[in-house]
Amino acid sequence: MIKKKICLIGGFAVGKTSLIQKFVKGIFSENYLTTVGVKIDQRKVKVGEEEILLMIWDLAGRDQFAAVRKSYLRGASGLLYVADGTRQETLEDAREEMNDISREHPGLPSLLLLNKCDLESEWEVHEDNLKPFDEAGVKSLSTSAKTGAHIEDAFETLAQLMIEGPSQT
Amino acid sequence: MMKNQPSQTPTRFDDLRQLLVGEEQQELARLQERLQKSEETLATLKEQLVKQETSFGKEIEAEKSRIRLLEAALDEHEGNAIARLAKDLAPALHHKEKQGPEASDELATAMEASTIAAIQKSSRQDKQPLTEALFPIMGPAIRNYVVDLFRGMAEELNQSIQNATSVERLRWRAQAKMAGKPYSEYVLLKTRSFAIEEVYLIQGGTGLLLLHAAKNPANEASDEADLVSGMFTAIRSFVKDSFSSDDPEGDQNEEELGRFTFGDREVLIEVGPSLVLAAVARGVPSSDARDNLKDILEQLHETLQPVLVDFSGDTTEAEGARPLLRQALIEQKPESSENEPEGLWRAWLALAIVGLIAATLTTLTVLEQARWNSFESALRKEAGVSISAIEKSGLIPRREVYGVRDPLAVEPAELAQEHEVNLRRTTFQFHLVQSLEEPFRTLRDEEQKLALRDKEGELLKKIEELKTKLEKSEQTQRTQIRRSTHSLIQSLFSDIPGLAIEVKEGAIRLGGQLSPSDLALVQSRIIPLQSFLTVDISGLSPDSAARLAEISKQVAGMSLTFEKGILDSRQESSLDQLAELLLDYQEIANQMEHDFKIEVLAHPLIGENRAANRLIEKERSLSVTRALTAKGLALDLLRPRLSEDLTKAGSGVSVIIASH
Repeated sequence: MIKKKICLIGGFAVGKTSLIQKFVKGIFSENYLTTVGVKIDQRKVKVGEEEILLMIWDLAGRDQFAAVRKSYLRGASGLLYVADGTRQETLEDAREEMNDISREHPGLPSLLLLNKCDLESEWEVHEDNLKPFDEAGVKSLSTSAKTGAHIEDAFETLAQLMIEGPSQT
Repeated sequence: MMKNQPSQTPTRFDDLRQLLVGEEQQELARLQERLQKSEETLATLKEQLVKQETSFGKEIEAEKSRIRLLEAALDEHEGNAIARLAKDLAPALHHKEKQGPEASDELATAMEASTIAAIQKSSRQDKQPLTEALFPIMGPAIRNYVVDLFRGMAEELNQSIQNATSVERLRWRAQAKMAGKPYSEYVLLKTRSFAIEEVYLIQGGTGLLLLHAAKNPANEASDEADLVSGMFTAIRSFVKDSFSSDDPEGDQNEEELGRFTFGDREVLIEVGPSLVLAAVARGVPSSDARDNLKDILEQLHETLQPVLVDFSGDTTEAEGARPLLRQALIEQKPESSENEPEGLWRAWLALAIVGLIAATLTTLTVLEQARWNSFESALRKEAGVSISAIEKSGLIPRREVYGVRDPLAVEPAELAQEHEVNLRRTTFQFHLVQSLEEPFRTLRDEEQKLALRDKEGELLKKIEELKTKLEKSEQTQRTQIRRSTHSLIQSLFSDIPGLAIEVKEGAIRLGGQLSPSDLALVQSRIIPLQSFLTVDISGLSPDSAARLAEISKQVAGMSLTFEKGILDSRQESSLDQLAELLLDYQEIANQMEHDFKIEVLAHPLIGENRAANRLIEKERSLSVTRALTAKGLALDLLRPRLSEDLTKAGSGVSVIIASH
């Protein structure tokens, strides 16, 4: 079985943890996020015939544990940037994160998850806002931790990308 | 006239009123009419309200009846539900448990919070029921724990004794010396047990678990190993980044988290260039175990190098290294002692001695505490004593008692002695204060009275002593004065023979028979003495015999000359003197009853006519005799005589006193 480390990155209250809870099996408390700045869960996904064990590192926000985040990102095979579609500023945060990380880890398979797609009436993100991600080769998906929409797709897509290998940008 | 005037002119007043308040009267009438209508409307409304109230009251009553019916139905339903629940609860719980571990977990999770809350509440309210419920479980558990603890102590003590005494330990010392290891480490190596129960082989960069080996192979299939491996990596990174020095090349920092412990388990971490080996050990692993892990990690690097070069994440590629990894699962048991069965008695003996000492100390402590309690209770009951603090220190207690007490109250040390309290380990620091309570006030008054009485007695005694001293001093002084006076008087009158001197208090008494000259001398000398002394001279008297002799002598020396037969007129004074002397003699002699005669002796005349001369001589003797008689002398004492002593011829007449 192939094992891959992926990291979830996003600002405060964008719904990272809720996304993972819908998707993974974990044994560690949420408190780990506030104590050591990371919580690790795992989930098996299938890409074709290949079963992949995703080791999902849920990282605390950029402002917290800044010193250790770099270490936590080391060895990651893929990244999931998470933003709250109802708060445009979280997309901006994700963009900044992407810029920072891509300098250290260029070409790392990544996806942008626009969470809370169930709240259409409050949606603030537009196509134009996604241009920087498109330009960086980071595809975006609308997800909902509440309804579970596209969460499986997101992880499977990322797994697919990782199997295919780093993108050439 | 004036009274009747209005009745006589009503029309004019009415007109005037109409003019003045006509409009107001009309307005008033309209208002009264409206008020009347309003009152009528109000009465109608009240009537309607009463009707409605009656109607509502009936409806409310009907609703209440329905509610009561519903409540009764609900109670019945709830009662039935509770009865059903009571009936079905136990089977339901059994059923849930039988559904499998997940269902059982769910049930436990559901009940967890309320069960904990119930236990906490019960514990807060009254610990007794919980204690009673747990006692049958906790009692044996505690006993087992204590027994195990003592057994462990006994074994460790035995080991310690053996360390010092047995031949085997001497051999270990020699071996440790030869191996260049500290003896303590060597003993630990030989005596401590430990086991490495699990090892995680982790890819250094990703934190992905490559291999997991456990002592019990069944545990190797656990899904959690990957998560644990990830968290090991995260924690290692966290610690490294948090506590390593501020090296700008942080990634290159060689410092690593080497181990961490949890309870009796310890996680040993060995870090290589690409691999990390984390070993979970139980007990205290030796340094050899650590060296073993390093060796294995080096071998693993060598073995897995081809896989790690471009690792795809497929951990099956690392499976070939599993046997090598399992070599890290070592276990070490303490070396059995050669003479352990025999040696155990020493531990028990030592424990018994320790136990005996402890029991003795405990007994002594309990007895001492009992004596102290008795004393403290007695002291606190004592009037006039107040304890503010008792400080106790030391294993063999030393106490310091602080407080206040009346000086008349009981002496704490004496009371302590009565209660057999060890005074060498007890210090009393009591401030003395005067209690205003009884009986101390009365006692203090009596004490003061006694003290005053004692003082008074002492003063009187002193006064008496002073008096005695004074008297003695006075007596001495008097004696000295008397002696001095006596000496003075003695010296003053030393030249006067026959003077008797008697010195008394402030007075002298002189006595004795003195010659007239001495008497006169004495009298002249006592004059200055009389200014400060009483001088009694009543005992002094003239010396009569001497006086008589003196007079005799004086008289013998006298002679009366004559002119022929007639007494020379110039001799008159001599005759008077003679007569005086003779009269004096007569008086004294009479006093002394002394017989004497006075011979009036006429000396021979010068001439040859003796016979004629005789006559003249006779006449001379008679004339003197008559003259003396005339002067007062008794005639029978006078004897006129003629002298035949020619040697005294021409000497006139002389008088001789002749005693018998």
